[in-house]
Amino acid sequence: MKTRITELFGIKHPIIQGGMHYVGFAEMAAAVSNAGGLGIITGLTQKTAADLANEIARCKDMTDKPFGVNLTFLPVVDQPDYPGMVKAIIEGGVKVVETAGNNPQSVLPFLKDAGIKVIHKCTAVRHALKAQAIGCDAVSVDGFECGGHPGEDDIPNFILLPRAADELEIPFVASGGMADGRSLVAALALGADGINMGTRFIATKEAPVHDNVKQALLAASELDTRLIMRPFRNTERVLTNAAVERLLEKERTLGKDITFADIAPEVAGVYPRILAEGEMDAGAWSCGMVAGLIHDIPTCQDLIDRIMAQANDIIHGRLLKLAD
Amino acid sequence: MQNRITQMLGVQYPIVQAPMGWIARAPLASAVSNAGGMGIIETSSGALEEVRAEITKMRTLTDKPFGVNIAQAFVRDPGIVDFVVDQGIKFVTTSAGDPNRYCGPLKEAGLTVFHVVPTLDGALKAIAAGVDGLVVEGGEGGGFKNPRDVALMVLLPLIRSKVDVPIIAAGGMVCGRTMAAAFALGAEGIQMGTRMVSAAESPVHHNWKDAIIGAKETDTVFLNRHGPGPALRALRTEKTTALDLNPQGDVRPEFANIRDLYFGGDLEASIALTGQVAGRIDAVKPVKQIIDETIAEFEDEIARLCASYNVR
Repeated sequence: MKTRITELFGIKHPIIQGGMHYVGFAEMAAAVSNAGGLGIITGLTQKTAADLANEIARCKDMTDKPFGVNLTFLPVVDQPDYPGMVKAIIEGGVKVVETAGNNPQSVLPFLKDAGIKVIHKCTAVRHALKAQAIGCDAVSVDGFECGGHPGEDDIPNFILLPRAADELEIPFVASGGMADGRSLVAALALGADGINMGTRFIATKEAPVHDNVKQALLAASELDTRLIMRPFRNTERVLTNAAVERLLEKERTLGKDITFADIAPEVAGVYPRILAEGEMDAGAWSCGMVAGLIHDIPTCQDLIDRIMAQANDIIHGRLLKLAD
Repeated sequence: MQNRITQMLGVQYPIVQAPMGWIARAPLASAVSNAGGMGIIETSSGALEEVRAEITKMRTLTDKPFGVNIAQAFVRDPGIVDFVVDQGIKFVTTSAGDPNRYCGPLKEAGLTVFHVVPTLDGALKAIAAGVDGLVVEGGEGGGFKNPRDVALMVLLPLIRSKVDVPIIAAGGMVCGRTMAAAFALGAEGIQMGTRMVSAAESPVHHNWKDAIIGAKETDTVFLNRHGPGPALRALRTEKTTALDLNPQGDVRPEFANIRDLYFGGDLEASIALTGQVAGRIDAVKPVKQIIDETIAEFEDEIARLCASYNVR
């Protein structure tokens, strides 16, 4: 399938594996890229620029296909070593960078000069238009369904994607709620040029996370994600567990007086404990509403192949028959 | 266009008009039926005698099929099933309650029954009750909602993969592209609410229609997620913004003045139930134009998908 996204990134299928904290290691990215999608290494999961350079080198050993690096710009005082990470990306010969969080304008010139394509994650049409204006090559439009940070507008993809399609000139992928060939065709019909999957890729054989995490996704229903940190205007969609319910209770009882220190036990430094060690009640971890649609743990190749086959069957079978 | 929905409902197009209280009455519903869709008469706002008058009016305005919605939480008269059967209605949607309550008697009388569901669990209960089909309603839509909202992008394929009956998608439905996307996810029909509220034949005050036309996709609020009383999605106004920031508990008393808003045009008098799709509506249009454009765009979109993505 050719779309503006496959052409832009030089990939076979219009499927991107979005950056995920403590999931986007070289093994994950390489598996997706080898299957014809675009795998993404999560920059900030690496402690230093040197670690990121090493992760990029490991990924290159595992695939000769294009892959990307995610750089998330956080609103924190102690900024990560972004210049060093950008240098590692450029010197590592990475062809695509997925930016997220705050405006990526400060690093954009360096990436563009190095011939790197930039796709920025956006949760609102106004942010997507801004990304287009500052020179991003594409955007990932994240609906309210998505795991991680869906923003504060709460607009699901049935509304957000066609709004984005009406306004944007650059290509975009749909993110949030994407699981299979049905989601891909729906996203294309709503004007997207491809899809971004996060949570769905965690439930694959190659995902370098503890098996407890994959089993939690299989067990989850469509009602099992929660929105935390809304009082901080830093909303995150996570899978419910004992820690998350405890955190939400604090948000309800403390109200406007809540501080980050109050919820630190449930969110600070919990990712390695959950994703690597499989301590499923250790804290809050990002998970999309799509968990309700995940019922197996295929290889990345099987997952992507069946998405493309199903999409083809829907378009040329069921839909075409109706329109004739 | 022929599929299970057009065949079961006896309509030309698989497009259903949502049963908005006070609004889904003969002038709007007959326009939908005459345009080839399924017009629905609501029974939630008035006494059965008022509904009887609307149905009588419908028969003078259209000879096409139309249906009735029974919003179970709002039923005043226990005789509603006998009433609907006596009126010769063939298609009923039930909502806001246990699907077992009315499904049996309606089916025994030969009616086609669809139940409105916001979750997979709700869908499986309705199937067990024996319904002929489902209206699967995502959190995008306006009106009274399940407090734990699930977006249609996830809910629709989830329910499709667990049930065999035909599904009508509700929430966010406004055009051929949304119809094509819903069909890709497994729906065989779509239901339009806010789009029909802002149709030319809709009886509501032009102030509300203008507010829908002017609204961005961010201009609705989801109220009362933690109860007591029902959660709902409504147009963002001064009143609903205040209720969002400082929840007052059960909002049902606010609906005492609903007619001042719906028909008097005072948007602060009550709560204007509106879906997020308001952000994608930019003109008041006659119902026939809405339906014709939706079907044409649906067919164009499928042709575009077939031409662009031929991997064979």
